[in-house]
Amino acid sequence: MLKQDLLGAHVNPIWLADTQQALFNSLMQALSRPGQLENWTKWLENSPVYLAVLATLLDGEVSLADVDGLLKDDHWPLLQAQNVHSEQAHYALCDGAKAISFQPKLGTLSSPDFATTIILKVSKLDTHHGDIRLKLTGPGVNGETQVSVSGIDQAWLEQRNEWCSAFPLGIDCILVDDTQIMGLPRTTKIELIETTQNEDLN
Amino acid sequence: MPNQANTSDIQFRQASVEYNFGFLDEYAKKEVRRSVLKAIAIPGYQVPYSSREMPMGRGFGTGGLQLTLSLIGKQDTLKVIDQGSDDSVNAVNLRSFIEMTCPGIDTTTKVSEANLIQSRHRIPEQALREDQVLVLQVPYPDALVVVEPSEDKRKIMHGEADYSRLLVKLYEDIVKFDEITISHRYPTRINRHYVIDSSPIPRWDVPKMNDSRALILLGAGREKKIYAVPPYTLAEPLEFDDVPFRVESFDDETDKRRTCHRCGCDHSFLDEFVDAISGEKLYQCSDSDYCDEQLKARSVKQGLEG
Repeated sequence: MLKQDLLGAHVNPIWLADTQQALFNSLMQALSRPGQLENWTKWLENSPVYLAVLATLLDGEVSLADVDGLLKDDHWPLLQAQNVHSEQAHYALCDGAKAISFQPKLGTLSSPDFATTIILKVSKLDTHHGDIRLKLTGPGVNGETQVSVSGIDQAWLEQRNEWCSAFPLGIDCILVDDTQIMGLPRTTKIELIETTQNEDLN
Repeated sequence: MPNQANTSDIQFRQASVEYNFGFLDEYAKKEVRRSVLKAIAIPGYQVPYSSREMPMGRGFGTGGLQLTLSLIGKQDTLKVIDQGSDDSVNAVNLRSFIEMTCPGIDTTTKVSEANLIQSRHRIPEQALREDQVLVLQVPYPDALVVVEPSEDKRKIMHGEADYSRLLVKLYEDIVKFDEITISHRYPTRINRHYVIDSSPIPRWDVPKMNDSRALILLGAGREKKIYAVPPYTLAEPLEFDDVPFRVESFDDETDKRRTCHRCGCDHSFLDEFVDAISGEKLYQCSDSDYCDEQLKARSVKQGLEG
């Protein structure tokens, strides 16, 4: 794999075509199987996972809103995406620990694909332990599955359920922590079964 | 598998370095990939995409080919099926093209060895696994086209899940012929909302889409649409309470199940052949890999018994 540019400078693998092919396949599996965590550590080389997700999906044809200022200025020319307001964006990058500040596009009845995909950064995704335990059902889930998410404002989950209440309208989410991703397409039914945030305070 | 015999190794290697890996440019792949994610998130919805010109006629599998080329990487093993067989013209040429433009990939004829399967007209008999992805080539993606010529109106009908006119068409079939006359491309409802054209697979294969362990992607190159049946998703063929969906019957006049004349299998989808010399009708498994596996299992069993 070519990891140097023409002048010999090191190129981070997330910008290379074959890494993006592998990352996309992992992303496709994640979105096909909600609740399944995909670990991206081997591809990252210190890049944040959300940047790798954006690098895999974006080019000049689509728009991005960096709602909570997670990106650095030098990421934008590499991503090539148009920088637009969050309410018009095809993709929105948000910090799950912060409050929701915008209304994403939900698509239209005849074109539900005109909806925003939200890349939501949380502090930890885990199969067993975390602040909020979720039960997931719906397409892609064999029966039901459970997953724990830490570092997310509970309002995000409630608002997401509200946005996705009238299928086929809705938003699709890609949850990321420091090393893993998890897909939450609009078809997934999320049930909050346990929250340990309050117990920690006690 | 060896490359096509009529292409010399040198020509083959030269051709492969002239193209980007996977023939398509990376922007084209990214667009297909974004559409795939939308298709998975909205099961059964036909996501429009700007289908690129491919070096083959539209309608010969360009939709499936663009999906495969956008997904495939050097670590992947590909199987290409045409009408159940790896050896027919469409399968051989598509496989050869992908081998040429994707140096480093593996190809196979065995379902069990492949993680990416591109198919025309069949879903393999052998149950697929979670780590496999099935790509189907689709000529006509919209099940509503038989009752509504306007795409604008069809999109609204799909959004509202209004399939009443399609059901009337099926009802009229029953009134006129005592049977729903759709033999392949059977309209199938995904996740209780969108009805898809299930591509020209026989009715036999439609139940395999329901609760499938593998992700199924469908690509229509000429009509510029991508849609998907995610794993573990409800896929119900349209039917009536009193006229249930049924698959093809392979029973003979005496109600005995016909078997494959080659491997003896009595539970697979059969193709009918006419023997050129005797004029006798012969039946053989449509899925050539499955037929080979059954034949091998039978010879092992006979060997053990012998």
